[in-house]
Amino acid sequence: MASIYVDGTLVHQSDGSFTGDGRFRPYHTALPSASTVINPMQGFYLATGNVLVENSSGDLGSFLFVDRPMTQLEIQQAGAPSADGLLDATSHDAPHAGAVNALSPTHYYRLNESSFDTGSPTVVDVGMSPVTSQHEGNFPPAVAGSNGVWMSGFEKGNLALSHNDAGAVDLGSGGNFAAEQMTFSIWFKVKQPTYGVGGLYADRIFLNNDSSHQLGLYAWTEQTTGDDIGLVVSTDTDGAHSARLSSSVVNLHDGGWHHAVVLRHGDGTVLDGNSNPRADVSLIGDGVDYSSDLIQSGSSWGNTGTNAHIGTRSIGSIGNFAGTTDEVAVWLGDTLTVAEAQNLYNAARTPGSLPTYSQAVLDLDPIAYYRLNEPAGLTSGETVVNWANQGTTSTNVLGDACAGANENYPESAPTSGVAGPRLEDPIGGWSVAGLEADNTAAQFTGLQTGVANSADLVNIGVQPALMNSEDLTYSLLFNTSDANQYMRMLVTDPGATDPFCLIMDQGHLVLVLNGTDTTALDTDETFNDAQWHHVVAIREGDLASDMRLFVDGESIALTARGGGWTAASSARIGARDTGATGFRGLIDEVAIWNRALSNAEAQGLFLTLAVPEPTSVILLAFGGVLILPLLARRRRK
Amino acid sequence: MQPLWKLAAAALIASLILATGNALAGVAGVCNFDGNLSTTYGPGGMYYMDEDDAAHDPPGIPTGDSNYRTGTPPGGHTATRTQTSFGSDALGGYMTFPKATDTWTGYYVDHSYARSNPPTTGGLNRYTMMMDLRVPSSSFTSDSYMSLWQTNASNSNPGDLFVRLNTSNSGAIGISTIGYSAAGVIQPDTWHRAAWVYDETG
Repeated sequence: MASIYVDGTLVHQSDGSFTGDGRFRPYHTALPSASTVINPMQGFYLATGNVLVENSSGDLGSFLFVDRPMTQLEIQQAGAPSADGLLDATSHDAPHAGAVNALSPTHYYRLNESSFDTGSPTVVDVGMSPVTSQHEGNFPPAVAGSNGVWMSGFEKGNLALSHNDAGAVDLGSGGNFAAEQMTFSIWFKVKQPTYGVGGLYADRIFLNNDSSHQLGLYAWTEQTTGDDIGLVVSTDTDGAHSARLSSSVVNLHDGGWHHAVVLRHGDGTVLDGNSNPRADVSLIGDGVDYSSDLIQSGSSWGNTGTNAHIGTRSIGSIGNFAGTTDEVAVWLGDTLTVAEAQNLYNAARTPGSLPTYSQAVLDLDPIAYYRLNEPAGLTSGETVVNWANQGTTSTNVLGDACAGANENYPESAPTSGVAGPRLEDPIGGWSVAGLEADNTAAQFTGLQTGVANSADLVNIGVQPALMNSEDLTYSLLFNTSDANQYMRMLVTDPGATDPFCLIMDQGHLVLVLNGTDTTALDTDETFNDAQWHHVVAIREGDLASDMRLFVDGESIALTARGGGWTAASSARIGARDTGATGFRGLIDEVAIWNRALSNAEAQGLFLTLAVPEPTSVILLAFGGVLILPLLARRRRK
Repeated sequence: MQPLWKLAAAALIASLILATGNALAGVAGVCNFDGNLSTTYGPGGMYYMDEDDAAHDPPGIPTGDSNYRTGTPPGGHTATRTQTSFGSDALGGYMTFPKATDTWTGYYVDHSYARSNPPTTGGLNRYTMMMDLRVPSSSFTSDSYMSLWQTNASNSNPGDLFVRLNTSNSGAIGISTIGYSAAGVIQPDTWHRAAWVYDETG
């Protein structure tokens, strides 16, 4: 098949075969006849003269040669010429996909299909040697196009395949996915006890079903109790070739996304006579090499000897996976190094691009930065990414947070994917220019009438030690028109040595230490005006007088008011607990420092977020004095 | 405390988005023609070649190869082609190549590739080529065809991809072997991003 595109549009296509001398087949090594002309040759010619002098003058702006057929989507995305070189124009991969592609996988299923389709091929393989693959099973309950892995190294809108014990991907002949030395990587998500209970077989997350060089990864649950047994890797059908990573070593079945890379080094047994791991298989989970933790699986694991699958051994009969998979890559004849496997996970936690404001926040080394830009559909118990712990090995950062209180309170997750502060949103005389044009935020609804435990929150964790500090800083953006009392925006655990709470009370912002000094301070002005506001709250010591507040870049005067505020049972965004006092409105870009930011740092953050609206820009161009009246109307202290 | 307006002046010049580059699978070579023929990514390379200039033999070609440099090329043209010139515009650097007046001038591209599966016999049968191309209106007036690329090692046929110029179906791109696009796809004095994808296996 030969296809010609101009400016991203397919302008001609031919399915003929061109096997003659030249004619679309650049020679690789020896020519048919060494005496013909050039020998050896590994190239071709551009804009050359020729026997008929059929050539002309012209300009070339960029040239790209890729040793694989790029997909039509890739060509379309490259579009028309631009100031970006061709490599930039054609490289749309977020860091994780880029890291996978850089290792030239034999097969790579991004599983970004948005719907179940019986057409062929239905599941796209963007690897170096793509094969025809398709969905199989029952859709629904299986879902193609569910939310995919969401970390900083993935593109927003990444999709995945929810197998839900009913659907899978038939990859075709298992021989295309099997070699004595091979590797596969996969992202998966399982939630206890929704899979495998009472079943006779472990769930197959991936299985090549090849009789000669079997390789598979299974999630194993105890048949009657539903207890999590762990992950199993098998390289053959008997127990000697099957190893298990016990859930007592690491729990990878907690409802969150996890990454596994399985390396098959050979056909030998995976454990020696003393049940010590041998070199024939390695398992890297979430970037950690667990190979030395592998134990005898305690069972044998069969295959059908037919087609490879993602999410089943044989759909409708054995080993259907009840979880979700994403980003499945296979390398044949090549075992990645442990470092390469770990790099795939690290790439998933590496921001591909950051808006100015986000970069400014991270440059100040927060212990947490919850951008709250999770895709729509976030459910209670799912991960809320802490961008401060992405792409770093620092221990001075908190872990990821959790949407909602936990899985037991499904109504307590905030609504994700709601429009956040963007360029068109005014903040006083300023415009939000430091965030993405499609920036999203989280919407918190407070306690819903008649629905117990429904106050939306993000759970940061019980008494994070890093937040036990006399000096703390919070920053966030909020937008509300609600006039309720006692609405918690960001609060710490009362068990913390040095609590610190940011609260909205009838539109006034309230700062509470609730420790040695229980005096609360609040603002005279109200901020529940249905506009976005940027707030930086700082405590720099044990006394109420040690607290400072900036709103939209301005220092705000605070007045003492009564204390006695009950904090939360853990550090939380949006509510004290799942009951009353939940915040009603939008929150975005929550950052926490275990130090007191300086006034200049607090103001500087706002200035990376917002720029004066056009009239203000003109005033600035004529001199700062002219803009003073504009800013003075917001000066309060 | 710094007045906000003073700090705002600095904020006005801040860039809005920081971006990082990412890899594209299978890239064997990229040339952006920013004043030279250097490839900026991948293992491949690009070289100017001229049959009358030993300094511009493609790599791997024995100096004095009688069939390449000093012999009689198919077509028998002997005039020397003026070497490449470079320029830049709003889209960045570009290379201007003049009309070749003999056969053995042009640009040799070494497509050495790394981890993919090279063919063991015959030619490279799966690939993508892409180029930003501008054809001056003068070429549309004076010439019949623009030869874009050639896979025939002996350069003994006209080439593998053409733009039709001062002939019927002007502005079509393709080759008779596989057919041409509609006329007018390539417009005079206009940058276009042309890509051709070949997959003999699918």
